[in-house]
Amino acid sequence: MANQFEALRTQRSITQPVNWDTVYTTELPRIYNFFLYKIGDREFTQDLTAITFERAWKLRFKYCNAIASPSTWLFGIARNVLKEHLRKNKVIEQKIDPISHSDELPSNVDVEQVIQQKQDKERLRKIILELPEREQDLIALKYGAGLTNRAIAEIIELSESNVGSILHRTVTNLRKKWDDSHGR
Amino acid sequence: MDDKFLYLLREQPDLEYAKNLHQKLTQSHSDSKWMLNINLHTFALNRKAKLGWITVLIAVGILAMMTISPVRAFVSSLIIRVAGQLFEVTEDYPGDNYPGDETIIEPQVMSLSDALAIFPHNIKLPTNIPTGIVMDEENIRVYIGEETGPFADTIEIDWVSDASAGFTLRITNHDWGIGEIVAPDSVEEIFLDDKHPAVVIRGGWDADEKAWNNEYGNIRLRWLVDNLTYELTGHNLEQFIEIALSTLE
Repeated sequence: MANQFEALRTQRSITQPVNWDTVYTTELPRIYNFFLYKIGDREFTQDLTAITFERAWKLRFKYCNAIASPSTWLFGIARNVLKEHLRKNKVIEQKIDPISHSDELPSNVDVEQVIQQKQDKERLRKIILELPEREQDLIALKYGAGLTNRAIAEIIELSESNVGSILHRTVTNLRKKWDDSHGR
Repeated sequence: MDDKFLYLLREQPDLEYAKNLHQKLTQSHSDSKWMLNINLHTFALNRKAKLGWITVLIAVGILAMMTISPVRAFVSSLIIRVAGQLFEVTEDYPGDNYPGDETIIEPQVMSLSDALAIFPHNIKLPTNIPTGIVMDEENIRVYIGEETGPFADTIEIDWVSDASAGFTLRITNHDWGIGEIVAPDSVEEIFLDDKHPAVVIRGGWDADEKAWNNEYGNIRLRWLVDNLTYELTGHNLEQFIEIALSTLE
């Protein structure tokens, strides 16, 4: 807490402007993939990502970089947006999007391989959905958003070591289920 | 640990989608507040012009911090706005910094119907109360009149349960504008829905330890409805959000 407070003091005297265009470029894929891992549906993912950035842009004059990094702040908003979405849509049909027109493949691509990849995605989605909510969040933040354990710890208010150990346990569990689902 | 398979679901956002969203953000939010913010940043970076003033302020600040406790608290605090409400953020235990004569303000205790009759504002009672928790209808606390000072126009209602923890709802038109004194990281903004932000305040000042303790005391959820401030105090944030949402219907 002392370090955070030092940061607050610093903020009083030096105000660092945030380049929001850079924040957008860096964080868009992270936020997008966080939702994709949590929801599994591209349309919802695009909607929720847009709502998150709309809300952040509307409130960005309130943002204080001494309290949290732009990424942590954005993920705080994203998690709220997701909670609101889940409250409004109590039962969500979790699914992997079928191959859309944009995914249509050139003739030289191995169709079997593509189908296999799609099946793998469905299988992975299914075993992730079997996880408790917190573990799902951690997987979405780590492997979807690509955040470090430290950044995740800030967002979900756990210690970094706690995040590390839960993730290790969860990934081991997922690995076993993944192998079992392939009959290995 | 082989975890490569977990990256399988990852994909890049559609380029056109990314471009359109960025365009929309840029067009929709180039408002005056944002421009003001840019100007403030620019101003903050204009070090030469401010150098003289900063030197004087630092000297005065150091002297004040060494001698006067309330001034020390002021200098080492930061005013932040969360969900439209102001908070003074500090690590200094405020009980030592703002000493004074304590006055105990007693409420009038009455039934709900009497309280609603004399309370000068229309209030929205929550309709979504968890099963097993009931309102203590005969013991509503009402603060009205000049003698209630900063508590004026405040009503407090308890919901109690034999089986689980109850909670308290406070509704007031009291202007919290000067700001509650809280510790860093103790307040968080959430959104009840698209239009209603709310503040979550975790913990409280521990007088024994003279420090903020996030595990100390209760969780509070505070939001605004029709210019009145509503605040739930208890332990279950998810429950509070559902209750708060029912005041917005």
